[in-house]
Amino acid sequence: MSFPQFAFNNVRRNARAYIAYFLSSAFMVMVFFAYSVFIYHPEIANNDMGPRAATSMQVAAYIVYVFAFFFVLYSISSFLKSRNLEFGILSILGARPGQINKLVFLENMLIGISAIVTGIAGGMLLSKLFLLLSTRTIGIEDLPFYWPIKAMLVTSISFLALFLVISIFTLLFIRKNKVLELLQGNAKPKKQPKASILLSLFGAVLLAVGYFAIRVELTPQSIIIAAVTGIAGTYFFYSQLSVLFIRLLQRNRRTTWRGTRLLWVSEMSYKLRDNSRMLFLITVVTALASMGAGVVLSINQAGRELYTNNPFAITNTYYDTSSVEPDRSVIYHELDAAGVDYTETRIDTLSGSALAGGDQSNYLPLMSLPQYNQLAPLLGLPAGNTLGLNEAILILTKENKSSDYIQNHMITLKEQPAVSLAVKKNIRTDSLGFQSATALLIVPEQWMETLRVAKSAELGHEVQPAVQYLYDVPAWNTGSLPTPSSPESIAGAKLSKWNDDMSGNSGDDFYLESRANNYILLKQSTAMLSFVSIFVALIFSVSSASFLYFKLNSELATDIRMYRALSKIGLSTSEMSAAATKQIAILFYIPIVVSAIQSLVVISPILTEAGIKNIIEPVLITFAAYLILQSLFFLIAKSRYISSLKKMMV
Amino acid sequence: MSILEVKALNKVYPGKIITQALTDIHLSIEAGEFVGIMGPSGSGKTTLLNMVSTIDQPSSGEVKINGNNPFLLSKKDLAHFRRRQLGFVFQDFNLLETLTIAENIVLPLTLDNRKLAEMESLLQKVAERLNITDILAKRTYEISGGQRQRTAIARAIISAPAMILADEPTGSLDSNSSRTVMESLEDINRSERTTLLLVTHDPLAASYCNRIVFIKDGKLAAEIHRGDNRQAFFQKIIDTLSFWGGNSHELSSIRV
Repeated sequence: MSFPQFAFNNVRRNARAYIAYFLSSAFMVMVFFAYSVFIYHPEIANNDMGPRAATSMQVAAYIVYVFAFFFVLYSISSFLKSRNLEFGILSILGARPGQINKLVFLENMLIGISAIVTGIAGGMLLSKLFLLLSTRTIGIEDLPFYWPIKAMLVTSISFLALFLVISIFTLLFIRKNKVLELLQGNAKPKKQPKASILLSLFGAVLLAVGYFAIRVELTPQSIIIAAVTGIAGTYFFYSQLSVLFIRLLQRNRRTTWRGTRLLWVSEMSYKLRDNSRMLFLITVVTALASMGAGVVLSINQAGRELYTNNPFAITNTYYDTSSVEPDRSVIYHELDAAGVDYTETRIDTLSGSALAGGDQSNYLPLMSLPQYNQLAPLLGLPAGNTLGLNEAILILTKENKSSDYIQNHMITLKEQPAVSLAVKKNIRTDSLGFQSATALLIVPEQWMETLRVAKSAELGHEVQPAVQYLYDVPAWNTGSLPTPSSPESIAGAKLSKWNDDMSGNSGDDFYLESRANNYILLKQSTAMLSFVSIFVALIFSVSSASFLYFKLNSELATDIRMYRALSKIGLSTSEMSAAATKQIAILFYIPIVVSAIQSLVVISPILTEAGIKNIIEPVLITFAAYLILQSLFFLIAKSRYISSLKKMMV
Repeated sequence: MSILEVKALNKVYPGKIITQALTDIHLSIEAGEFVGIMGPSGSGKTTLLNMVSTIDQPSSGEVKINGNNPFLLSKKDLAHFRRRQLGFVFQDFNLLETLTIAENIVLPLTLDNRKLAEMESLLQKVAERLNITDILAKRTYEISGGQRQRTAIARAIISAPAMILADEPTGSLDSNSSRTVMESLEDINRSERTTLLLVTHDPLAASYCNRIVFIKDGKLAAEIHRGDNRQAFFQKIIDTLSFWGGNSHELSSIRV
């Protein structure tokens, strides 16, 4: 048996221990390769969205690569620790340190190269599907299959380099010269996990600083401070705070001296400390991936609401027009060409601001009562009958606070502070999406004129109301969301293009909006992000689960010995199973819980700043998906672990 | 009243090579007795102990502990039976290094969800008896082998079991620690009237017993009783061993 053969057999016969690690390495290679196939696709440059998609995939590929580096490094270092006994025996038999190094190096490279080959082969099989999926979700033209020589080269060279560097790196881990130490290997008593109170406090302070930095004020600096302190704080959370917490828990005999708790709580402090670096890494990347996914989902949801909350397919706004009836024949032509019935409604709005106490005022456009009465049936709102001279109707979106506009049942406008308006009715609706404000004030017709004159006097030139033409197309109000090929999107895209072409070229500057076109554009830009972040999150989930599985496997021998002894003194199988399940569950789920909290803390101020109110739901959806995936791995790992323990119970 | 009744016990390990580990063993242990089982390696001592410990099933015959046949119980009830009726002391202690000494001792009680005050007072009592009160807060790797074994004994007796089963308790201890451990066992047997069954190689450890049963090749070979003098009993054990042991011819020729 030659030396390489020895290394080969070592890996082959220990396949059970290596398989999870090998598969997740191969999976990372595969995803990296799939991204590369997309990035280096010859037709990507000819595509509108192509270069942007390629850039974000490149970023994802970098993230995968960096994560792969740490994953492989941690996996190998804990592999080597579990093989101390083997190295001890080899040393006793007279193997030189150089030979052991060579053995480890050969083994690593063997696994690395087979992971690269498997990953690329799997990637080749899947690349057609991946190209199809990515083009569909991003909404660009299909990319044909090609022979990805460049992607293959880039993938194999970068991962070969990764495995090479790490294999050399790991040789530093086995610089233990004493054979006795190696032979004792894992049998050495595990020292009790120590937590320093100072470092724990420091970690808690870091987390608090991060929390307040992002909560108090949102500036680029505060985000950086929050990121740095948050990440450092998370590290201390796992290495110090969690250990401290368990030690405090153990002091309370009333809570811990009960049932199997005594067993698993103390085991837990060891498991948490031993895996703290990996748990930290998983938490940070999970949090980042889900923050990305959460933001994408929130934007998507906001886009959906923007579409559904707008009852009008097309809105065309003239902010400053001199003509009484601007030319709208292109719109008529387009809508006729689409073969749909439509109604056109004209509204005139004046911008105003409602005083909200102190120096504050809030943007509040005004519209006359007769126009509102025309509009109300289209919005599904009750018509206002008559209004007294200084009376008004306030229409608000459901999220808006009426106290931002109404003071003591009255609205006072900044432009006309002398006279206040009594609010006769306060209507809440979701259907204000046709105009930019989240509130609308309905006033008697005379009031519009009074305000217009007041504004003109204040600004020193004649002010005209903004004219909006709203097009209600019943055939397009299907209740479902448009696709790029639906007639509404096609007509919308054409009209938007006409708007772009005309801007600056005509006397009447106008702003045309198609709700379908807006929605499609938003969706395309976020679909790519979500596509990329879903794959990244998938990788993290798979590889973190496989790492934990591997760790459990390498501790299995010790755990079997412990549970066997305990079963002799009367630990029943169900009690063993309960204690072991709780430990594994904590290892699998604690990073998810922590990163969910972190994502919520970080995302909510950012999205609130961006004007998106519904935050919790998208984040929870992201984590629910993640939770389901992780639960699958948890069930597999748990059942395998417990069934091997069960065999050894007497 | 007899605590342990073993009747016509046989154990056969099936397989390609069928091994008859135990043949027709009869053994009865009365309450408060301290019985030793001795025999050369491979004689079946540990197999017998495993049957009594309810860890292994006999092929035929009967084991009754406190009048009950534990092999009729379900696996879960069997675990509870072991927890409440039997105490175990092992050669390699089998203490959990993740727990403190106190936690190791009360473990069987916590598994039974006993009240905290009760656990604490029992812990204090057994710790005083075994003279380990001042190491209760320590970890297993911070104490000596003798202290570890006394911790294991404390864990075995804290639930006041019907019988304590000790498998080579002095096997990995030096002579001094062995002495303190055996004296502790003897003390528990005397003052608490706890029934003890000890499996050992070590004649010195065995000399603390009231009665010793010898097994050879899976069969009962001899039984000796202790008089008042432990020294004389020790000599008797050596003689019996050299008579029944593997090298009896050489030894006896020197002695006779």
